[in-house]
Amino acid sequence: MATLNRPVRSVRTGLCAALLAVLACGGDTGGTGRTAVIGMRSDFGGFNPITNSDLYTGEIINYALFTPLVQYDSALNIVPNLARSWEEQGDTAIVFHLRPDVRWHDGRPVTADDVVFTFERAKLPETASLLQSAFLADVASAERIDSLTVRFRYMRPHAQALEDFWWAPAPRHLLDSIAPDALRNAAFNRQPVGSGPFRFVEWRANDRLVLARNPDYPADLGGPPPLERILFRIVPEASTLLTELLTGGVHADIPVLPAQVEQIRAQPGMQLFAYPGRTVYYLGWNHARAPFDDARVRRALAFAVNRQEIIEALLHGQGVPAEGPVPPWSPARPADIAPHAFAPDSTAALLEQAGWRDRNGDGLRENAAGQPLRFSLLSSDDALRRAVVEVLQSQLRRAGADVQIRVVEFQTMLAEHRNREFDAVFTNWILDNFRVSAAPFALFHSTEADRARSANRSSVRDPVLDTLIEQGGAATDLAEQRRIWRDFTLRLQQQQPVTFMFWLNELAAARGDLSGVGMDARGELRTLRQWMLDR
Amino acid sequence: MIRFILRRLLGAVPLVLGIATLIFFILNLAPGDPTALYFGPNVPPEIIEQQRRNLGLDQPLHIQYLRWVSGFLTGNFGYSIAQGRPVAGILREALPATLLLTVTTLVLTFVIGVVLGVLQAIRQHSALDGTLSVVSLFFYSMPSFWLALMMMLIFSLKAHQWGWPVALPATGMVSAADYEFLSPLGKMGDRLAHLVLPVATLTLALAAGIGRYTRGQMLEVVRQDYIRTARAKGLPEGRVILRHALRNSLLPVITLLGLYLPFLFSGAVFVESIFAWPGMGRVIVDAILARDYPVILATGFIFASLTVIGNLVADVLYAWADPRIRYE
Repeated sequence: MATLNRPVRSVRTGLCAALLAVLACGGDTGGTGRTAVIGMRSDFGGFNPITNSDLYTGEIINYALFTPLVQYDSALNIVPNLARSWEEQGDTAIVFHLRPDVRWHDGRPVTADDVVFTFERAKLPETASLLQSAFLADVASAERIDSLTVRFRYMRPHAQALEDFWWAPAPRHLLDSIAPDALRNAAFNRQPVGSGPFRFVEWRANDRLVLARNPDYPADLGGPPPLERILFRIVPEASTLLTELLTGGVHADIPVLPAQVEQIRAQPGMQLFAYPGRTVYYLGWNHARAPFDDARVRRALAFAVNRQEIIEALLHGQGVPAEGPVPPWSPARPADIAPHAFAPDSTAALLEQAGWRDRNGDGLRENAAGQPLRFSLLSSDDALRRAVVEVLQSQLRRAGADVQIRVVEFQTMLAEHRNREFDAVFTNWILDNFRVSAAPFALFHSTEADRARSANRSSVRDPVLDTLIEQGGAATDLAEQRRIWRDFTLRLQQQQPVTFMFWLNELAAARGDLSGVGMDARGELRTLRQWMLDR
Repeated sequence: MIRFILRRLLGAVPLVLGIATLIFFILNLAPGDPTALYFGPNVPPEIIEQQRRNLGLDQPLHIQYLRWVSGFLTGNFGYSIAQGRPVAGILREALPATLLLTVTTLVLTFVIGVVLGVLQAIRQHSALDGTLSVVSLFFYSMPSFWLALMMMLIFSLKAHQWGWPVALPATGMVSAADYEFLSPLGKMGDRLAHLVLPVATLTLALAAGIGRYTRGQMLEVVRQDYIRTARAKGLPEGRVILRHALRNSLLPVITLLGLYLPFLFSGAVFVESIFAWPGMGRVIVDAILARDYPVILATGFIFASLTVIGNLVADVLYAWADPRIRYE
């Protein structure tokens, strides 16, 4: 019998060595080099400030790769950033003076030309830029005064005007040769040259994004970050990502599900971040369909919903009841409004008044014509939404309404909602900027009710709300803003054009050896340039 | 045989084109459109309309179809709507990751499956046969996503928490932060460690199926007269089984290889999602959920072609291996 041939023996040796290497490595990233690994659930969009449409990509643009004109402080006031100072010229224009020491990562300086270029491209309809819709709708023009000075003119005086400039300029010298409608597909977006505290290193789609510190970042803006590298890993499954966090495969897990909070708290040495975010969930009623054209019915159904029960049971306490689209952390929030009550007696009284009572003893209310109080509730197939609509169904059943749940795939839900083909819908709204009047206008202004596929999908037409929204959008004094939004919220509570449910807490977790992490409504990655790994 | 192959290939062209056309029109019938996802629920309609114009989605359907087909025939798969880059680039990046997973899986599946099948056949009705049958049935019936999560739970999370000597990494192809700093041998070991759980998940289910099939084939072959003759000639049992019975019972099993050709490229969606393996399975699912038409069409076309070719390969292998089969 021949002995094992040489090739087989060396394969065996190789396998043994590999096994030893595996054993030696173990499972955690103690690692070499100061690289923080952040686990996220979905891949990024292109890193182009003009064409970006993704939330986390926007955070990386504003806090890591690029330098926006201004930033927000913890009280949500605007503070200088790329713009080191500004002069407001009445309420019609503003002049920004840029810092001279911010450079693109290829060495060229960031100048007013880049700012003007970014503005002009964003304003062009062909670019289909979200900068235009989220920030520049009230800004008419940008003018280069000199290489470090820009004047913007407004279309009309409006509240929170400084906040129109929370965006970063893109490099003109690299992008101006690209046609506006092709900007979205530019190769630059996948290999960006930025101006921020981190520079781009590598991006493998659906796998990882690597950023490295920028050693030339100006000291006045915080200087070069402590971390040498940041590595974002894309892990689509929530349970898998949590496993990686617990075994040390990642240093941070963004975001975390409410149901995972207990498991994280049970593990020693973990940091949990929970804070009210920019997402508000609501029950949309379609005013073009009976019985939702009757405010009494809407109010009655709103009284029948026990939001606290839902927050405790399904969100594991990670939410606060919502009264309107003005978030609880906004400086303009109305402070002294009582939450909308859970009052089944009021439900019964209002429905009786509106002509809905149980005429045949089957537990369901019918109107005078004998039609039962029955409607469909549309939702996407997300696990949280599915659970909430089931609870809503049972809560509304107690009030005598027969709710038929329709759970469909997300794109289908969006299409039906946009096309106003629904009775009632449970969905959310995500604030894409900090302008308080933006969401109310989009959701409730009557001019939006007639536009096809606008955000006013419930077809709300209320002159009182319209006036308050317009006033809120123009008021420049904070006390006045608070008063207006207070009246607005009270009107919402009284009329229930949609029934606001809750602000979902943003949840994220990090291992104990990652310090400097601060998260709030401004974003999870806000303090990225201060993150540090303990050794 | 050559004429047979040519005829089949010629027939494949309209078949594949027909499938691709069907995918195109069905996709456009489904509610939702590519611009909706990316732009989120808040974006004003005029921006979405402009983006639809930019992507050519406002053109009538037959114009879009003709534009797609003509681009396609010149080898241009177009740009992904979701990722803003050429589709060919996306496929080129995802394919090697998938091939690593699927080729390893297929090789292991066939080896393990055949060995199991042979063992069960020669020891039919023994305790070993019974146990392996039950175990095979268990893994064959197990949904892949559940198996994946259980494997990760036990061999990654719990192993780490209970301090086992070998705790396998939960996700990805390589260790995130450390990979670049490892020696070449360390790198190989790291890749191997990351490959274990996904490959094991896929192999266990597939090998169980191959094992059952092989067992059935072996049992049938072993009862043939020529096996009796071989034994009567005085050949050792090992040669009878391995040289005569196995080769003949493997023929149908080998032709299955042709049918697995599409799997080689489509990857396994659940396993890739759960183990965060950046392969073709995730590309397809993400594209479908985002209504990324160019990517869906390109991958649909590729799989249709591979299935047709795979079937052809299976038929050809079968005819080559078994001289009794003849095609006119």
